[in-house]
Amino acid sequence: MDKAWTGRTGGTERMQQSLIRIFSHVSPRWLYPLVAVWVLGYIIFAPSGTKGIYYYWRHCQKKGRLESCILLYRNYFEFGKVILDRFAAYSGRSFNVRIEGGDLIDRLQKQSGGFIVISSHIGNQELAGYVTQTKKPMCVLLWTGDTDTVNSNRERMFNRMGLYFLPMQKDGSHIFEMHNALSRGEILSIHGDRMFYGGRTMTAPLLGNEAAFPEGPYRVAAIEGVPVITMFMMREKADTYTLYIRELATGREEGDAKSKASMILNRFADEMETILEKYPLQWFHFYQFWNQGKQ
Amino acid sequence: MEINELKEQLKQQIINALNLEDLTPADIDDAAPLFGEGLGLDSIDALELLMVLDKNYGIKFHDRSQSKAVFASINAMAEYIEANRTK
Repeated sequence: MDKAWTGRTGGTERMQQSLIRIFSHVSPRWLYPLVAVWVLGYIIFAPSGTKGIYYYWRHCQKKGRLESCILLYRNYFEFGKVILDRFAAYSGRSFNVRIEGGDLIDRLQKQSGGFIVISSHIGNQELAGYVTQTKKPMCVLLWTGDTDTVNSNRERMFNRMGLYFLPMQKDGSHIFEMHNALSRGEILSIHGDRMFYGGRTMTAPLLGNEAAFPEGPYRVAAIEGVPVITMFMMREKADTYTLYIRELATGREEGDAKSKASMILNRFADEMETILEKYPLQWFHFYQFWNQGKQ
Repeated sequence: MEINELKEQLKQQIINALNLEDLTPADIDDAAPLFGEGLGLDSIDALELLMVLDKNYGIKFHDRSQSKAVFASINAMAEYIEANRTK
């Protein structure tokens, strides 16, 4: 994972806009059969993504070759459903959501200080932001290299939910805005598992293999010394999700910034493993996530 | 406090905050850039510097463009601290 992430949501702008219009009339589940066929194109014509998912099933989930190929297809199909649900949310459609660990976020929201949410590309992360009732302003650090349709709809949803986004800057100057948001007692949401502009990495064991993670979120959390949580928005069936909220740090841990960053990362990796045991098909890193050079 | 004394104190605080164990205050040139070619610090190291200024001198930044000039070198940081410290 030494290269910067340059990905964006699939499909043309017109297709994305059409989806939003369609979902204002019908449930996304009616388009699932279409997605079942559509994803075959991604499997064939996006070999690096296919290779990354195959590696996940074959070497991390320890499945046989044939089973890995079948699960790879199911993994893509699951991703297609999650993407459709995201566009359905843009069109105003609501979902049935059960929240596990909601007392944790309630408690943190009652405190005067800010806290950090480290998120992952497991499940439907974006949807989590749209269902969490935040009493504090939430600053979401975002990669803005996606399509205009996705970016403008995100902004509209963010405004509706009381969230605002902070675009990532190549020179890392967003760090100051992140610090200011926490100083004002706000919630700061950061992706903890993807490199957007390259940069330094930290490693942690994940599913039996050493994986590289961006250093930034963990160092920021350690330096700021605030509570840190993670959220996983996991798809159960059509229109139904479970949101899992887990604590990664209380903000009162002892030690230097380096050891605290490492501790937070290891807890995050443990939580990722736990959720993947239950929802293995909702792993949505379509590239070679594991740092094979260090295995 | 004399400006030179402040610079020495600041260098030691930076070494401690960033765990630059191989360096002593004498190794850090007052005029050398802290980021890029100088000490080779990155944006997250800048956050550590921000905390050093906040914790030790009561200085907060509200304008990120201002911080770039302040973190340019030890000289620039010391001058800014002297003019803006609240503790």
